[in-house]
Amino acid sequence: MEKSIENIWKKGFLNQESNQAPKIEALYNKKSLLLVEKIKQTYKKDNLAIIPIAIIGLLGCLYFGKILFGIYLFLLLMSLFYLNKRALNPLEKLELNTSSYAYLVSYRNCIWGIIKSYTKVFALVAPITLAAGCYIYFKDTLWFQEFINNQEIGKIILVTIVTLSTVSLLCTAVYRATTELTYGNYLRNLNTIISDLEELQK
Amino acid sequence: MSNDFYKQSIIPCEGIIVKICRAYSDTQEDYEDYFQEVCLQIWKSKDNFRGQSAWSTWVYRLALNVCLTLIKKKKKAQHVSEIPITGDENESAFFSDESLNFLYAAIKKLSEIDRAIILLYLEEKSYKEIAEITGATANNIGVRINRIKERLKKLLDGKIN
Repeated sequence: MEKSIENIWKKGFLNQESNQAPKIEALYNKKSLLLVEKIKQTYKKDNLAIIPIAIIGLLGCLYFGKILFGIYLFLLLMSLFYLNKRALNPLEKLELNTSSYAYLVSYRNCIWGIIKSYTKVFALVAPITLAAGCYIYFKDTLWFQEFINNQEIGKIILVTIVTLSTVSLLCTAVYRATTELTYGNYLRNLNTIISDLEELQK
Repeated sequence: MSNDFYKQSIIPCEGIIVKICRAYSDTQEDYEDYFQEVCLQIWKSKDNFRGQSAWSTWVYRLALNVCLTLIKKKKKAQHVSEIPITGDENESAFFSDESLNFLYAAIKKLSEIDRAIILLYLEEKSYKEIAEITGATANNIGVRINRIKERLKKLLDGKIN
């Protein structure tokens, strides 16, 4: 007798083995790995983008005769590239050995550690390096010489402090905004998965 | 996901979820991923169940939606990265019953929506229920099921006695 599809279906699923479901244990493993991989790739691309910017900056400055400033800018950007690369090392070392939860929490802690240290860099180091850059760029200009020679030392210090503070605030705000723009969604996804996993463990 | 929720709400519908995930996955790895994602979505969306239909019907609808979304995502990812499809597309030897394997292989050759309709039909859902789940009209479902069965018969021709 010819088998109908209805019979094949019924008989096939009478066997308990056919209905066996996979075990739900590594529920979030793949999701976690995919998200972390996306963050890593974005971070790497973000960092690699610094190299062409540094080269274009250097060439531009050489073209306009600002050799010292060009070299300074190039070295500054390449230092940032190196710093970013070093910051990625602890993230690369993290492995999904125990549980997705532990892995993601360590990952999130690492990322927040990086963001915190960069916020400090942009708030404190960036204004100083920028001030040094401005000095290199403007030191031979007439208005700069006049300003140094004609103003009281107190006023020069005050202007420097106000400028540095403003630059510090601006740098921090720009860093936060670009981080939110580039990594905001990823970090929110990371938090959602961690919350889900916490809920799952209840 | 608590053990209680799993035992009370997922285990009674495990068979349904298994059948749907098998029909939409090409490899064992995909199947396990789909199954896990469906279970997870059931748990996450459980508060949206308002009792307007049977729990199993709701699970069915959700499982179908999750599988269709995952297929779309997979296709998109493959399209973007142009990575060749891994695994044997004809991999269908999931079951010990050979005829069932052939039937599943044939079902996988149907369009995504036809797959959903025939799975619901084989699960003995009424035309009205199938129409509700798939969003088609009950009349259209009847015609469509006949066409799908004809197509399956042709695909299975000579393979099973």
